[in-house]
Amino acid sequence: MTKQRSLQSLQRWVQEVITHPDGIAAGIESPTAKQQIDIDVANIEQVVEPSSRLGSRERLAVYGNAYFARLVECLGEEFPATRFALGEETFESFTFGYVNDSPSSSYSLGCLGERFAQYLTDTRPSDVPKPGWPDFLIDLAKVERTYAEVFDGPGPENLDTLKPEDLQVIPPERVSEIRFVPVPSLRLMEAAFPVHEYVTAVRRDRAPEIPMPAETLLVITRREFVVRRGTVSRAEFQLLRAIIDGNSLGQAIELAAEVMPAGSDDEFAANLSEWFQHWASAGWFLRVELSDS
Amino acid sequence: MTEARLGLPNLGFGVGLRTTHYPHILKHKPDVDWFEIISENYMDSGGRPRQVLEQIVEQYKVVMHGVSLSIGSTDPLNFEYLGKLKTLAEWTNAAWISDHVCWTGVNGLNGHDLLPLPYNEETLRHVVSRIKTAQDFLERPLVLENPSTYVTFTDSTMSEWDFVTRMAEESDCGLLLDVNNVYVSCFNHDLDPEDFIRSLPHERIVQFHLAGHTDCGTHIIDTHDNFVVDKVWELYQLAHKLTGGVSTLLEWDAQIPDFDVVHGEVLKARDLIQDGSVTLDTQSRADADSVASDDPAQGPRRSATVPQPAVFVAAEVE
Repeated sequence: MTKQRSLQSLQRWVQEVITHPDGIAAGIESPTAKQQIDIDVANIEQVVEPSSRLGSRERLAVYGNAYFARLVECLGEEFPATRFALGEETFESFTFGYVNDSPSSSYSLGCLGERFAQYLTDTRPSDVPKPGWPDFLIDLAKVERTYAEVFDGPGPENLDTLKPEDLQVIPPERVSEIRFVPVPSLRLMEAAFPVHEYVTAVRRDRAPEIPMPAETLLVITRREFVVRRGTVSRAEFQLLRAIIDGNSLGQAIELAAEVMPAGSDDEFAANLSEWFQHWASAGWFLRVELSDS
Repeated sequence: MTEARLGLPNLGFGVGLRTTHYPHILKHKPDVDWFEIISENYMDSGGRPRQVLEQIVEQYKVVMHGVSLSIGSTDPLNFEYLGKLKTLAEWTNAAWISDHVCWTGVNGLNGHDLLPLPYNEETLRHVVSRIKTAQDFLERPLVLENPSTYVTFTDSTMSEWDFVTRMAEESDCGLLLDVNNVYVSCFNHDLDPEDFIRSLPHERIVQFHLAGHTDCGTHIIDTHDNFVVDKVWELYQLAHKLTGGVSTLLEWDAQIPDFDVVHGEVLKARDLIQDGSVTLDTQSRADADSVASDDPAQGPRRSATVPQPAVFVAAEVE
């Protein structure tokens, strides 16, 4: 009679074996698995029973294959444009590597892709000049992950948002003191390629070409439960970033001007009013606050 | 004596709520008895899935079905997860909360699969203790489902049905009898599915699941991507007779057809109970009975047949 192992040992062994990137046999022979159950592939029947139609190893391989196939499939749904850009086989290979590098530790499949863009960044080939093909993929993965987070995260739908007329009641002498409170879904993203257009094309079942590099400054949010995205100029982007970081409008303009070329002050002055109107009509902010309001 | 279905209602014939059917359901408000939701798809949602669910619960009875409770794992129970489950159950006024007799990972990881347990005294003590803890926390009985499995362990000292019976009686939980899973597991393990169903504590069965599967010749995989096969309908008829009838739910999770097709499939269960027979159209019979190619020896990434669960909510982008 076979000696019974602890439930914990068996579970640790099964997990190690079915998640091994080189398959069941390599998993069984791995030191980590052997720490739990010290058997060879030839003796797998000491742990897993065969059926009349399949051997023990093939039966266990159903779980091993399923583990990778399921997670790769879910990542393909979250990153359809990245998958399209890479092609099925290469996407499988990349996501296979990612799943091995960052196995899921959450009860939710919604968290599975949260480190995918970082994984692509960490494994970027260093000999490819920037911005190159790897950077396009990294930007694609970033924007697709951001879409997923904005789609299912907290949003503005049940909140009152800033209206253009709300800005008109601010005394002119105090405009520099106001702080904009963003809607919870508002995100900024800087990309080296127009990845937003590429994602949209893929989602519309077109077959887009890989675009040429072009600085792309995205504002991503959600309205009526659908993710919306648009592009802004460098000046507007810097200002929005400083505002979202919690600075007053006056401080934000100063901070934004510091990273803009000389003479950009004029651009701020000329466009501020128009930007405010757009931010309000696009629903990017909940309200403006004055320190004593 | 245990009250039938633990005193829980027979909700009729329901359908698993899937994102692809959201527009149809919201527009046409189909005459469905109830919906089963995947708990993990809604417990953290602040977006459209949650908004759709809000509209669903206003009009339909809802049951919560989870895939990550991991009641058999030797990792500690996740009370953050249980707390979110409880909050969602209160918000949706769920008729009950179900999950699976399985484990999904250890060492803090989740493989998002319904992994099999060895059926022995140690596992029984472990699982019963965790069910009691979870039920105390949730302040309601758990309803646990037999998963489709592809291996059995030499560590098992009792049958799955004996294990499930003792588990239910010692923890006072309910059972979700997945009739298709009985068929799949029994095929894979050379067991008699009728013996399985006849041996269960029928008064504890709260719900049935029905689904399609993929027959790979040497084994069957629970893919939820097809019509229910005749042999599963026969087992359903037996289970209905033994239980006196309980809430019945059709799951379809891959290659999902139009809502009316999915709903029509579960209504075959109603016809079967009322008329004693089910009429399959030629195509659905051919699809359901076909044998697919899936060679486990092909290795990772090369096997196209993905067992359930694989339920992911994709973003909608303008």
